[in-house]
Amino acid sequence: MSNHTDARNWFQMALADVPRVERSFNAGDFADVAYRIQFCSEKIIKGILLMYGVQFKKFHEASTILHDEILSNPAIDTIESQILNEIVNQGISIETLSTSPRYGNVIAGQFTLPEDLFNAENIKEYTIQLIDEIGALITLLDQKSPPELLDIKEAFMNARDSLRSLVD
Amino acid sequence: MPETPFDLSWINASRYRDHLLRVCELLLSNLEDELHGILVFGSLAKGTAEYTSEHQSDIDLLLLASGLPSEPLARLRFGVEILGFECLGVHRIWETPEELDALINAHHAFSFEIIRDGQIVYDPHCMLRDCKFKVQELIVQLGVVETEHAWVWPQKVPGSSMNW
Repeated sequence: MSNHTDARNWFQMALADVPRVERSFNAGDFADVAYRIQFCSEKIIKGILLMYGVQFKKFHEASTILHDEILSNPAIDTIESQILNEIVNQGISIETLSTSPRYGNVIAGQFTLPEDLFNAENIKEYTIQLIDEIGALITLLDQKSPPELLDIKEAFMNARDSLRSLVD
Repeated sequence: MPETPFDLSWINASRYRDHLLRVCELLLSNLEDELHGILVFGSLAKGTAEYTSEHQSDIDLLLLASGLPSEPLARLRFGVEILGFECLGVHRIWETPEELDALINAHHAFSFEIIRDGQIVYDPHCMLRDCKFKVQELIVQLGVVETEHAWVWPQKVPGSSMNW
């Protein structure tokens, strides 16, 4: 088993989340959109970790591992580092939603349901972050040009177009 | 105390030791010769399990058995009928000996970790002991480095294709 085969599996899982995002978006279930965006973002980062030979342990935020284990590698060049930084930044923003898409949120004892937290306007912000994360991944795949992931790059380009149509 | 085939002497907390003994006895009495091994991993094996009002650590088990269902959902359900309510708080990973061997040969880091750090409770044919030796040798031989969050494999060019 190669690291790119495992990376491919996670990228395919991430791609499968995009039509789920679309369906929930079109149905007006914005809490579910947020949940699916979180999943998609996490899977993209996990795919990248595997590309770089990192088998992650459970229960840690993927963007933290990407930052700590890959960006610290002196063999990473400047452009690659900039792309990976962009992915980490988008990943962190999406991860900060934490469990709120599933459980809602409590601030100063005041509980808000997930359905009341997310709406057509604020979900666009997270959708754009996912679009940007996918854009950075496409640039990374362009730069690294792994032949066995070429079709994955194409699929992410289509996925990005689909997501753009939701927010344009 | 009656003689038991299970090594639970390393568990200090009686709550966990007693629960695990009941689980092991149920598994062996139901599966008999099909049960090939029980290994505890996770926080209980590392000595960091907590049982407080805020947090109760699960018992994480790797269970080696033959004749396991191959259908994924049936595999997930396997053992629930045997254990009944004793399965509560017990996280179970079922593998056949062949499957475990294949995972180790595929250099699956999670398997490396649980085998290396796990505590063997039941190992009638020394399969788990042999797996431990094999994993320890492989970790050195492959040059894989464990960090807090991950297992990092040596790559000549970052991001390039490699076999694990």
